[in-house]
Amino acid sequence: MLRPEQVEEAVKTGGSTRRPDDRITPRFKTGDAVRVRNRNPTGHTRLARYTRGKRGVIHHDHGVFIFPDTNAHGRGEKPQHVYSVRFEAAELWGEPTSLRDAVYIDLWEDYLEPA
Amino acid sequence: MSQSNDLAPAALPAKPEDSRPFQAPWQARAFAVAVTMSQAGRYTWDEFRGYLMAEIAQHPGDSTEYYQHWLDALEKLLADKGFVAGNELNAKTQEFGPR
Amino acid sequence: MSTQHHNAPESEPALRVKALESLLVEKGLVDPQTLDLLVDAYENKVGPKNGAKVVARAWVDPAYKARLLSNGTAAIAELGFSGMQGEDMVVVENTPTVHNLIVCTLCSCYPWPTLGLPPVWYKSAPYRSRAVSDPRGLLKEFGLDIAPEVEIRVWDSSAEVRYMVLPEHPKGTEHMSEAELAELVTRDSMIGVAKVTVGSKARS
Repeated sequence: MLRPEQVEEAVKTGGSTRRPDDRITPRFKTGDAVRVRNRNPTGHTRLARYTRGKRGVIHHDHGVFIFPDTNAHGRGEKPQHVYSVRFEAAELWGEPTSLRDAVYIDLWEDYLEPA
Repeated sequence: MSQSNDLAPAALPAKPEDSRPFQAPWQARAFAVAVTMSQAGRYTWDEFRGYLMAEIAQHPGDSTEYYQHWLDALEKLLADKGFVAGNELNAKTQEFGPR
Repeated sequence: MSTQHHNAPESEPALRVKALESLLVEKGLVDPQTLDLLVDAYENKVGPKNGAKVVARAWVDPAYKARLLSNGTAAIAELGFSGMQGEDMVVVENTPTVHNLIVCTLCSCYPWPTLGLPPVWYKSAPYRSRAVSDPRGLLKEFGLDIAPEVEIRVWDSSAEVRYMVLPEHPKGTEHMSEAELAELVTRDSMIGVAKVTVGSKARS
């Protein structure tokens, strides 16, 4: 049970799900073209539907984090790289309000394949 | 609007804005319960988020109060984890209010 | 048996939360005083004033700004802000050619240590869908007209990283101290639905 005297520390510390591990080599690097897998998963997922099957470019590798999909189902933390991926508005929406705009979304490596 | 966006655009919530973090005391309590149980290690915050996302995904585009989703998610998570069973909560709720 | 103590009937969710808390306390799983302290923290202590200090520091100190943009978590922690829902921070900079907007399309993820808890509209279905699908139209409704040659970047906080916008330093503020600058920085400017001007005033 979290005690009153522990509240301040808890608020200030939180709980990162980052798992620094140099042994886990990233599959992708900045500039790589990727496609979001067209999966139809059950259970808890962080794969936003509007990105499914879409093509984007790796903007940044955030590092290694726990994978929530397997962790939630007791199948282990399966830590992996999480990437910031840039998608052009035109790719996502067909007829966007601007050809210049883009959406950046954070995706676990398991959600991506090379494009 | 094009293909992939299945959430119908609607007017944003009306101004003037209520910028308080909680619009009712029960929301503040529900928030605090979710956080304290997570910080005590009963579940990860990520697990709670998963339940919350599932509630929101089941009600796309509607104006159900956000904290109602939060409460529903919390109740389901606590039941699945074996901390508070649904019927136990229903019975206790009856004790607190007229029915 | 009814234990109603109020004259006005309480709503269904209020009764359920009361019952939930009562059961958890009975089972020794939560301490009501802990709950009080958490509510107090997020109602009164943690809020956008924190983020405003980060922004003002970045405006006056170029070396700090560089650290902030390369490692948001560490730079924000230098000012004493850290913790829940801010464990992994990325700060994105508005420039004359790029305007940034933050959203969480899946729920309501938001950088608590710097901005506190999110406003009602940020959590709403219209915001969550239009921020990604029609940011220009959405921003117009907030009173912000972004020029066509400016690129809008929408950041969907779908994983563990939390985002905050570093708004542009407004003209006409060169005479202001760091503390005075912080007073201008609004929560909305750090989400990306507003800009900071010499006339802005942070509400809370």
